[in-house]
Amino acid sequence: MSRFNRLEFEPSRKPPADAPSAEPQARRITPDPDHDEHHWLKLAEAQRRLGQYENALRFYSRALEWDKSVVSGWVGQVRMLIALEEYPEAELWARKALELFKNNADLLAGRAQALSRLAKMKDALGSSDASINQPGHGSYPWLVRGELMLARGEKTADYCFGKAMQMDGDWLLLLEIGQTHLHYGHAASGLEPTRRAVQRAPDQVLAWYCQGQCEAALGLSDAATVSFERCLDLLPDYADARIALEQLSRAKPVRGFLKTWFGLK
Amino acid sequence: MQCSNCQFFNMPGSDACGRCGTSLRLSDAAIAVLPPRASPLQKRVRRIRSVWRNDRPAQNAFQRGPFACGVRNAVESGSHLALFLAAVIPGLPHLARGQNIRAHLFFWSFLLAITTALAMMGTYHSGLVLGLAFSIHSAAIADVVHQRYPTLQFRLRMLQGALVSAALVILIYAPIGFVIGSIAAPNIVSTQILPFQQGDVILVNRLARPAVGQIVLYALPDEGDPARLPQLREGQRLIVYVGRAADRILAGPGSVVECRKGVLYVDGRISENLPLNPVKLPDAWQATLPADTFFILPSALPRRPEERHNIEDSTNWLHLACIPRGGIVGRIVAQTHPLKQFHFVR
Repeated sequence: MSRFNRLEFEPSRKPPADAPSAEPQARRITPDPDHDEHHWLKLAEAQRRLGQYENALRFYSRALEWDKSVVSGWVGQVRMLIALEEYPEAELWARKALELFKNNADLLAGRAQALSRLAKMKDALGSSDASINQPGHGSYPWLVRGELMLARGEKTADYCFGKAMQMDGDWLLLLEIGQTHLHYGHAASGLEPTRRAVQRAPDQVLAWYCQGQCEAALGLSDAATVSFERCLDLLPDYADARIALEQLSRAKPVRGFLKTWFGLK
Repeated sequence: MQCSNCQFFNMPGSDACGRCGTSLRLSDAAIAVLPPRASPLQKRVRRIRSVWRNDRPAQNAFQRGPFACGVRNAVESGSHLALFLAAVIPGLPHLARGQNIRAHLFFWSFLLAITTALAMMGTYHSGLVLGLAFSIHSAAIADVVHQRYPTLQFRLRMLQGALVSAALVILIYAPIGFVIGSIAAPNIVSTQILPFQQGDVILVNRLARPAVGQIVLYALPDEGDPARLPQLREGQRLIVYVGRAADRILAGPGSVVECRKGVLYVDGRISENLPLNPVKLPDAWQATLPADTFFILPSALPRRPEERHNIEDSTNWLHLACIPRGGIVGRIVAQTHPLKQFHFVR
């Protein structure tokens, strides 16, 4: 339809005010004049570090309402959707963001991660290759690469995770590596980076919570109880830790065995 | 104008980045910034589907549970003993690793084969089906070994398979077979022992202590030296019972057994137990059972139709009825074949 691109219309002819918008999904919320996108991004990051992914997603959206050219907002949305186990939506959103930011390494990595969670390994590997080939990328593409290798059962996963850790010394990255292991059922492998994250940031609730999750998955109920209690010491309102503690206390040996054996929740 | 994607400095007035093509007027564009969301129901359905399609190794509660994690870690640790212990239940390591289809195939086919083999225990076909169950079990373990060591040479893999099978026989099948052979040994009824017919399969508990009231399989007492057998007159015939018989224990060691007017008395009281088949007892006799001897009327022994209910016609019947403890093979627990006649013997 390129022949219509050069058509000219009268500048005074504007659509009526009650006409439906061209982007019905686009929410025209007036941005808060007191806070800019950096403020919302900071809030989103803080919520992410608490494991409150729903809130973080909301704040990333607020940041993008301010400025749609903030790539980290789009990447954050994709990562939060993956953390919330909404993989098809994450993949769709990553594709949409890639139309705006072509070949962005983090968005490509996010799409690869969503695809790998959807078991579309071929597409995921393609996207991951593209993300790693982009110049100046961060640790996230290597983290995703490690996840893909882990999903395929290849030993190079540790190498990829190591590369990611070389690029970023953040405790959150260690937690993400641990959570990735846990996601693929390798609780013992996941416990090691999670413990390192706890050593690095002992005042972080999420680190203790993830450690408790790994320990609970390994059947180390006492250690998991200690970790979840530590979470509540640091943040008494932390609902996830409270729920996990209740589940642990309710799990009697025989009942727990039956529940796990028959897959009941 | 600096590109927000690749940080490239573009000429003022450019609409798109000259390096990566990203729009430089995104802040003015009308673009939806709220991502699509999945409903809780959608998430649940997806989780079930992904478990079925084996998208993710640890999706359901069992696979996230400590038991499955333990099995998985045992498999991943590479320890042969741990691997073997994890593979005691066929398909369990696969389920723990998230290979659901293989896990279900191995487990249910093994369960079907082993159940059929147990149901047909003692018959010719039982061995075949048991062999099939063993093959499925070995294949399940070999599959796990192969996944653990994918680069192993073919010869080494074959050797490992043979070792796994041998270990399976020595550590699992032989002990279980020994236990089953002790507490529920299958015996084929070779000659008719009423109510059991020829060809029936009965399970005998060899470890059970014989007690009054139990139905037992026992060896008929030896007739002794054939020279000492009574001389037969013309028209008479001698019936010698050999082999095994099955009947109910009516009295234990030291009991006084007597019969008055066709009624059996044990220690002066009417016997609460009856033999398996109705018999006409000889009148007015009394006997005290020696130690370690049980009183079992041989009511199930095959006799001519006209003397079936008359034990007096059997020569030396008292000798046949006093069975030493060592002669009792075991308690009959159940009849398993034919399957439609399966019942527990009480």
